[in-house]
Amino acid sequence: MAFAILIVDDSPAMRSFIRRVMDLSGLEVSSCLEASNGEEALDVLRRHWVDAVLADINMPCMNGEQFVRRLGEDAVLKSVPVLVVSTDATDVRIRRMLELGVRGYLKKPFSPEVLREELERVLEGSDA
Amino acid sequence: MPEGEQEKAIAEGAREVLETMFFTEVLGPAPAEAVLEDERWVSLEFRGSPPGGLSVGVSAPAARRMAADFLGVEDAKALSEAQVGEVLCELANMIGGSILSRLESETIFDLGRPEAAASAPEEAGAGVVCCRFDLSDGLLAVRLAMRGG
Amino acid sequence: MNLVIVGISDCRLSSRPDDALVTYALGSCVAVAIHDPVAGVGGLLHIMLPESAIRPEKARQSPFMFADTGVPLLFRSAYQLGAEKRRLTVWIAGGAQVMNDNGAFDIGRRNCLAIRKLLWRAGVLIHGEETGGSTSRTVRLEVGTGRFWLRGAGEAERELAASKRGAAWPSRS
Repeated sequence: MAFAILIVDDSPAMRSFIRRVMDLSGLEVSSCLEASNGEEALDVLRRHWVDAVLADINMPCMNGEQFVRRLGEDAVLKSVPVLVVSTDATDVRIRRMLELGVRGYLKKPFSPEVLREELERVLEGSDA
Repeated sequence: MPEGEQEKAIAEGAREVLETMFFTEVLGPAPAEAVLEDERWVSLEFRGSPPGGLSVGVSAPAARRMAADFLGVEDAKALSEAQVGEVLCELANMIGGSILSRLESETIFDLGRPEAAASAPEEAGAGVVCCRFDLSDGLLAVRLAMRGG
Repeated sequence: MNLVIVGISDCRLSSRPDDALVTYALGSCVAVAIHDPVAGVGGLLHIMLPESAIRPEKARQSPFMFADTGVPLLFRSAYQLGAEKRRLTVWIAGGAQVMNDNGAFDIGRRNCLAIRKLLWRAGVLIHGEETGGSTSRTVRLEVGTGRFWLRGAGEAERELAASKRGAAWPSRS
């Protein structure tokens, strides 16, 4: 089974890093979509189905927390698994995001291998 | 905040980011006489308890090499200035998040968008902490200014 | 099982299913093991130092002493035996901070950093790892099965399965 992934991060460099990990991971990724903030991400999701979203927190226009809340308000999108990928490693933020139902929380910085493992875990869960 | 806590957070945060995603060793504090030459600076503002600003400066040759290491590119010369700039912005973002997560773990903070700065920020000032680190091919400087609190 | 011993600053490859590549006493040194299950090729490298630039003449005589000369050579040799990059499983082990190491240099940590950078640049992810800490390690790669075994000083041998991490650092808490 090939997966469609959406990367939501306002940093083009981080999006490149994540894409590279996906290319090297051995996971079958049929499409890798990108957005630079939550609003753009919602726009992408209105047009494309994805198997997982990797989302940063600190972004302009609509941040990651606001984006995940909006996903939760949508009958269809609320089932899309979200893996948070963020520099914000405060207990408060992590608690809030987990309460919103994200499937994982990966703190930057992370090694390529840790990202691959988290992605595999989230995708395996979505396949079940 | 106890004395030295900000310096410790900066040192730990910078080391964690540089080693994990830039595969770069922080050799230690830079000697007092070491000067950051031909450097590139990135700055960002943050909202939190307290709010403030962060600037990160890197010697230009080290900046280019680190950008190549981050992106997994063999030839650093093949990168455009824009690409190097984008990676440096993410470096500042991650160092900022790493420091603030250590200093403000029980509160919410919001990092603003990192932007290339035309020149080095002023070093001195109340509430400003500046640390410089020795890399094998240059210097890294981190300036943290927390306002109030 | 036929044990093929890999010494310090050494590298061995094999495509014989009965062979097991083994290297001992990994303190600050780091072992890189690779295995292609389709080609049936395994390789094990034992490096001592991260960069060859400090001793280029030595690197010419002994390329497996340094990460930046040894790792590419390990992979190229495996390709010559029929291995393919995309099929390779990769493990790294070692890089401990040994008692008599000058903390300021921390060779073990630098070795691991150098290898991670080389692998990332080469487009290879690590599938199993146990690095850091302060214990000396012995590792063994079974060429026939692709299983990788590890033993710390005074411990029982255990398998380091692929995609499992047992890193003792980078957190320096």
